[in-house]
Amino acid sequence: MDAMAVAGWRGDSTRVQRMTVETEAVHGVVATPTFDAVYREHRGRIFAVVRSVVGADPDIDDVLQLVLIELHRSLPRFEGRSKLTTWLHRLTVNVALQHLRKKKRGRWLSFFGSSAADDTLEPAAPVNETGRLEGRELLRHVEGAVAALSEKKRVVWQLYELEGFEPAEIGEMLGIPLNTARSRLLAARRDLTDWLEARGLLELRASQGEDEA
Amino acid sequence: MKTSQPKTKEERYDALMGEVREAHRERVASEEPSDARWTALAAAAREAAAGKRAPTRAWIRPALAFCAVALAVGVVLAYDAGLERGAGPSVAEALPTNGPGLWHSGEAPLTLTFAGGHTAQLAADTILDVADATPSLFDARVTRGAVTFEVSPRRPDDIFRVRFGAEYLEVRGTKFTVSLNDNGEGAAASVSVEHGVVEVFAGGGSELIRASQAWPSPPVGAAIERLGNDEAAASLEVEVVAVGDIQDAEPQDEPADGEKASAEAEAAAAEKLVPEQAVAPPKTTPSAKLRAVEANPTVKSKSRLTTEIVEIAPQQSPIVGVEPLSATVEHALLLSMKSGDCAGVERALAGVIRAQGAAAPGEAWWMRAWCARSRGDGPTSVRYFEKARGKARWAIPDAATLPPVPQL
Repeated sequence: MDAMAVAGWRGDSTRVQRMTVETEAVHGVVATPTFDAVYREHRGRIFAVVRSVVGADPDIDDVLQLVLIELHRSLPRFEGRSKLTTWLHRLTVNVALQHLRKKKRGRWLSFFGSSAADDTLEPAAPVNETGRLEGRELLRHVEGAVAALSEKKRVVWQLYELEGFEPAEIGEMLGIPLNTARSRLLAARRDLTDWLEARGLLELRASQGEDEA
Repeated sequence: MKTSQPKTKEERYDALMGEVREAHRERVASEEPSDARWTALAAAAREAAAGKRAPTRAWIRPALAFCAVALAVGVVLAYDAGLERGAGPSVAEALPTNGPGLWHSGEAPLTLTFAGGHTAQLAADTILDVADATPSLFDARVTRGAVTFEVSPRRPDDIFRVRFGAEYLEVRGTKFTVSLNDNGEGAAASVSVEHGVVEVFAGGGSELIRASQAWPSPPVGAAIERLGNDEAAASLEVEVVAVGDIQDAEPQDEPADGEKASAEAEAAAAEKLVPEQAVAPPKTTPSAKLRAVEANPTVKSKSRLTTEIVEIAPQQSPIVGVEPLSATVEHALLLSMKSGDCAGVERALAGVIRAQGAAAPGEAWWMRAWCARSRGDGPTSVRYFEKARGKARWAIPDAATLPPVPQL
């Protein structure tokens, strides 16, 4: 049943646009959102998730297109058992992870060294204690540390710290139990904290805060 | 105004992450594709999802082209391989085959067909112990009676091995008979060739047996006496190894004259295929070579224990002395000289077994089992014994019957 039919059944034309985006189950009838509506509403979130997972990858447009293709193909099969956003994020994360794994598999076939994206994941150099890290520079250092984490821990950390998802949502997205998501997140935080502390970044932030005060 | 400062490591981390998250959002906002780009991506996704065209992956078309070329090359190679082995599956390959096991003909003759199309005709009251029967490796032992083998055309690296007594021979041709006759004073082996060529290695020399010829052997008891092993005397061993077979061997039902002429041609071709094996020099025994090495003052003394071990081990082995098994073990033992202990021997044997795979002789497994037993690893020792028995059941009846390991 399409969205308009559901809206008509409810006799509320003002809800048509929202119904196409936020799927709701009404008396057992599920409205199927349209592709255009979903991607327009959520494209910013799709890009943010892809950017977090794959990093500064020159093939990010390819990943986005694969997400949209998968969205177009899978949307008719969306049954409304979970929130649309959760379903969409799960799809997006899976496509991004598939891209990373394919890239990892194909890396040994390359005779020309690492790609430009790999260079951005290189661990950052030790910070000059007299300098002040802000914005992009700070983010670059932290991402350098995150790149050293395993993929499982890294993805959970990125979805939690950068995208603001809760562990329960992350577990649903990745198809892992809640406690697994939590333990991966804790392990990632512990590793990252140690890494940052060993390079003086945490102390540096504290001293900067004191200066500002 | 004084603000509260983060004290703990976790608080400082959380404060840092707040800034990181903000920087990430700014970066995402600045890097997000434009509306036009999103529209183009969505349109391409619609087309791809609808099957109008494949996703914009530059490598897909070259990859498909490469796969097509690889498939074509594979088909051509497979076709060539089929021509080499005979176009299409042969009748013999299509027939049901017999596998490894102990075959006893009883009162009536028995004909067996093995993988690769090889056949063995067992005369009455004959026992054939088949250890391996794959297209690339046939390994069997005639323990009683007479067996006529017909070997199908094979690849040069395929092995067709038949053992009996203490000698061995290499088969160049395709049809031969191995007989064991007990005349009351000791068993004697004989080989007769119907077509093709067989090379017999005995007494340090070798002899080519051509079509319609026969090879008489000295009483096997002499070889057994040389070994000084009662268990070995109980079984008669001769090894027949087929190497460098002729691919266009004459069919079995060809007239006798044509068959003989073909066999002569096969003999000439076979001599060209493996000339080095036809003039192989006599091999020394492992013990003799090790003694020679030990007598050399330049060898370190720590090899003495190894020498003692490896000299005892061949004496314990019931199938020692059968070339090229001895050569294999000899190689393993010489490799172990650097280690100076039984562990080195075991490692060397393991290396030989790994290198030879299914073709590794039972003697190597037997000696490896002996090594495992000497270091007190009973379960491993039994496992290796079973491997050895799988290769040489005729010579190793049961691990429990083996003599105890000598204390060095």
